[in-house]
Amino acid sequence: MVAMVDYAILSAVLFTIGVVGILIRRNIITILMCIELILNSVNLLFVAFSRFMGNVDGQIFVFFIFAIAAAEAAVGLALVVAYFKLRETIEVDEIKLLKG
Amino acid sequence: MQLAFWILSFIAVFAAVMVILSDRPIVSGLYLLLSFTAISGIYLTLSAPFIAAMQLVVYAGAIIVLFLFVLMLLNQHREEPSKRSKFVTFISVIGGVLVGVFIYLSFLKSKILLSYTKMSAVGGMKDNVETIANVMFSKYFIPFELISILLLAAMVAAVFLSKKRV
Repeated sequence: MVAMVDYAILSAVLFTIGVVGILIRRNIITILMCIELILNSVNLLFVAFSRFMGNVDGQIFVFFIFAIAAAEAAVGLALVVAYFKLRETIEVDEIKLLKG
Repeated sequence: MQLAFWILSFIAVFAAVMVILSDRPIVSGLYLLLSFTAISGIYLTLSAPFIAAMQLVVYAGAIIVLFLFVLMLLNQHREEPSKRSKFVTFISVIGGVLVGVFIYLSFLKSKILLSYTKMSAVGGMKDNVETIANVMFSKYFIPFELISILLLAAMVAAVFLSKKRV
């Protein structure tokens, strides 16, 4: 059987890949994709705990996280489009207007 | 089921690595789609068919399409050559991996986590949706309604941000 700790380690691996992706990518859309990856790893841990503890509350939290991820993606991408119309770039190294 | 878990987790991790390695955002988006689909299969091995279906509908359906639409709209198909120094990138990779190693070690040290070696007897594939509905519309009814306000606010924000300034 697959034990709880296997699911936890898979979740940790996906989380790490997401964090490294946020740090090394320079395209803001890829960074948003990595944020989705991190949210997914947390969802996986929620569902695994819910299944192994025999308690369905974790799956309801995952449902809420889905809604929040959808809202986050919509607002984030709208911000990216608005910024691109203003400055013609989506490289995070170029976005330093507030940096003094 | 064990075999399914290992194959799907391998696909999910491989696709996630390709998301951060490929320098074309479109390719990243398609690999992200593969990763989400594999994770949806992993939800099925955890006997959560409702969450698996929601994963396919919301993530693989809506969010990926949104990303690909914005990529097409902005027409930025390749990253510019890096102006960031190799050293900074190297240090960031080390830092990110270090965070992951700490999470991994804390999981391996956790007695609670290691005590769950097999799945609980209650909560199988059968009646999954019914159980979720019963709990969601009794215990979590107010959060469920608040989510609708959040989605409305996000919609208004997205429309306002992409509106042409006068």
